[in-house]
Amino acid sequence: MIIVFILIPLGLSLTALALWAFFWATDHDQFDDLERHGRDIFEPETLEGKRPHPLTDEHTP
Amino acid sequence: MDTLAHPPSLDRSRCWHCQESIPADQTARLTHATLGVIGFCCQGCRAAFEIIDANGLLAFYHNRTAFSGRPDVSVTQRFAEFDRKDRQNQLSETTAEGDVDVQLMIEGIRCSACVWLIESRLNSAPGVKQFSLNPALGYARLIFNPASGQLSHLLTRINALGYQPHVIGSVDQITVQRREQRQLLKRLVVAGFGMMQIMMISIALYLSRRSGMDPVISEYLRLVCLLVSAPVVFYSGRTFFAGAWLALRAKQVSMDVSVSLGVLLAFFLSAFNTLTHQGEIYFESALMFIFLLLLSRLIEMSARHRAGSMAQALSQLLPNDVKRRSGTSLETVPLSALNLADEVVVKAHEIVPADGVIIAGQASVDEAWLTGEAQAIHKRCTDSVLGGSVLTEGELVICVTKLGSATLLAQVVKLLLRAQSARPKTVWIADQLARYFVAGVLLVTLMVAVLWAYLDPARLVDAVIAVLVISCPCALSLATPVVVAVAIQRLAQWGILVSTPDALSNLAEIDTVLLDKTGTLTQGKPSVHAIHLYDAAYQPTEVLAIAAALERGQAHVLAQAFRSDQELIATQVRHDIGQGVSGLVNGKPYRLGRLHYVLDQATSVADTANVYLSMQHKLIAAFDLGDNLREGVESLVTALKQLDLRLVILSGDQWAPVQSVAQRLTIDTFAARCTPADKLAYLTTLQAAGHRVLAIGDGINDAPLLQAADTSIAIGSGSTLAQAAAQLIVRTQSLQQITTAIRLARRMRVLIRQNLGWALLYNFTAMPLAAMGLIPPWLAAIGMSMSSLLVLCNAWRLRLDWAQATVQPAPQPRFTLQAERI
Repeated sequence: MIIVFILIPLGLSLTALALWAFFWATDHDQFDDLERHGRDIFEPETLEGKRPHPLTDEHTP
Repeated sequence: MDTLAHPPSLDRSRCWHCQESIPADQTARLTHATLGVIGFCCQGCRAAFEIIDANGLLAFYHNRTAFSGRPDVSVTQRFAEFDRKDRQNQLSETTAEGDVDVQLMIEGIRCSACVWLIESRLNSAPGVKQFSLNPALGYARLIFNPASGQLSHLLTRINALGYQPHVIGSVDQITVQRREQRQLLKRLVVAGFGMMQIMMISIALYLSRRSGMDPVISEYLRLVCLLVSAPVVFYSGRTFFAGAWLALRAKQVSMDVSVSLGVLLAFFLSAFNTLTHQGEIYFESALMFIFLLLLSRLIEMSARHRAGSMAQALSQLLPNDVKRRSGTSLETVPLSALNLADEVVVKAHEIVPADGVIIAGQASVDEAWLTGEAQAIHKRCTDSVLGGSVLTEGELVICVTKLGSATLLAQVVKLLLRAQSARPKTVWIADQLARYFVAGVLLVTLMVAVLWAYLDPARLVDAVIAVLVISCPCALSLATPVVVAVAIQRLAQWGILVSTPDALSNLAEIDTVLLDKTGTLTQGKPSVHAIHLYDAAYQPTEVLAIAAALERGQAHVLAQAFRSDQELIATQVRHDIGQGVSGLVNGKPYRLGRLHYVLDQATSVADTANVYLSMQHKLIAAFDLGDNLREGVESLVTALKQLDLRLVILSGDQWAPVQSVAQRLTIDTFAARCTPADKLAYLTTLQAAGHRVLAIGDGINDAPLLQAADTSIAIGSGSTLAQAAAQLIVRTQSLQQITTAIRLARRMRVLIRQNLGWALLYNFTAMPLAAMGLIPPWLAAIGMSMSSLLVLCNAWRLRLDWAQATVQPAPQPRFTLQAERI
């Protein structure tokens, strides 16, 4: 059972790593909006750069 | 002033203002007359101290219960943009006296001393008329005179004290909410991870009691538990400890107090047992308690934020750039550069940037943000369009009539914010109840402790922790606010705006409905059906022209009936509400209105027509006006009757038209030719007889009635919205939503009762069991959290039920507003 003296600290450090990764992700906006990005794929116009330019739009009178 | 010299909690070796350590190379210090040499960590703190001192507010350091934030002196620049006229118009309102009315959100408020400090500082500033701060939400309302004070100066004043003011309507608010939510999420996840680790080890320890375990290993495992739970308790549990500390400093007990007591007791006792190698450990109960409590807080917070983000989403609906037409050329300008009467081109799939009138083109316009109806409305020349609407097809040229905070969109956002920042009475009562409850719990805990110490000291700790944990009144204090928040949001999606939160609980209670006829049951666009002449000297076209001149510009619906090609001008026009109009046309004094108003004395003329015209008390003509029923009124009336409501029509109109409308709608009780005073008197009689009354009107001429009724609904159309005295405002063309709102309110009442009933039942049955030592601490933690989660889920049902029960198809998700739909 000596192995627990190694395995538990190892497990805890992995947990700490996971927490660090989670904190990083939270600070980088990953959990702010869980709905919008899933819907974005249906809306080509919301992609930057693809939006028709107001002045070069062919319907300009 | 001796007490001011040595604020008790202050460490003199640290920064006096923020209590952060002073960097070695920092030279910011000053010698104060009574306080001696004071050091600061930065120039900003020193400046904040000087301001506070110079204004005689030093008591702040004595009264504060939390240390101040470090003021950021570099941000003065940031506020300059709020002085720009266009920016200010977007974010604020101008009052009748020409003062500017802004809503602020102030970040960094930690205790009531902060509120006192900010209020005294701002109320003494030049130009400030009114400043009030809601400490719970951090919302503040500032009214100031732009002639004698600038917004940027006032904001800087707050900032210099170490708080961050945000003008609501700017993007800043999202950042604040986001930060709050992120922090809670992190705390929750840390608690979750920690809980899982401890659970695993606890199971091993628990099983080892039967099979036996090497004492070295079991001691090692207990030590690991202590090492893991210590950071979790103090990181994740800080939310509760901070709340409890604030409450205790204010000499109050809150829910956080009993939570903190339970957690800390369990933790320190287990730590003590671990280090002394004896007794039970309760780490897993403490962590589970923290985790589940945080979980329900996160759910509650997102429900609250969602309701708020509705207003947020609305205010961001307008585009940043607009295409302005000047002559034949088209230029793209920022929205803020737009002026009144500018011509703007809007194309298919674009958003209308401001309220305006169509001067060219035609298009289908989607006003879902306001009406909740997905179906686009066809509009053509001279129709008006609202800022925030979307063109589904076609192209329009619009002449801008309203901009910024004058637009209907901005008014709606204001209403939503107002409903949100006020607290409904029921929530307040529940909070009070929870507070007494906590005090009772602490008392019971003490009795339990004494009793068990006498009976069986070994089981004392188990019982005390179980009582503290199980009796946490979270469910009780969550029961009402969550349901109300969900309901308000649901209604907003259907085009019903709630302007005070109490409106919904009142709406659930009503048994009688007072209906206005004109503009409510009927379309409110009357037209002249017949003209009876009493004076041969006048022609029908002439009397019509005179009437049109008198009524021009009047807001009353009847005014729209009179239209004439002849352009006569009326001067000295006087409007007597519910009576009529008087004024000079071609130099002659005319009166238009009710018979007794135009004649001022008894007469033999039969009072059969709607409107009379007279000159110097001599009758000239009578007008018969007709009005068609609004679409959907029949089904509304049927639906209202199905809800067991008594319907009464009160109208200022003539007997005959009211009677015909009442017959068509099979409403038995009706009264015609009521003045606003008559309507009020009728209402008071009903209320005196114990009836709860809902008044439905069109907002302007019914304002006194709407205000006096238990609750009221205004059928809003454009300008009526802002001045409506009603508690609820229906903006949809179809009236179906009124019954839906009543049913939702009743449902809400049921849910609140279920929630309160469950919370009380749970607390009162579980507590005796826990006091008897029948519930182990871990089970108490699960029980408490489950009851809170149950209450939350119950509130959530309000969304689910009505997602299917709506009469109309739900609006298509298109932009941010609909994105909030669940």
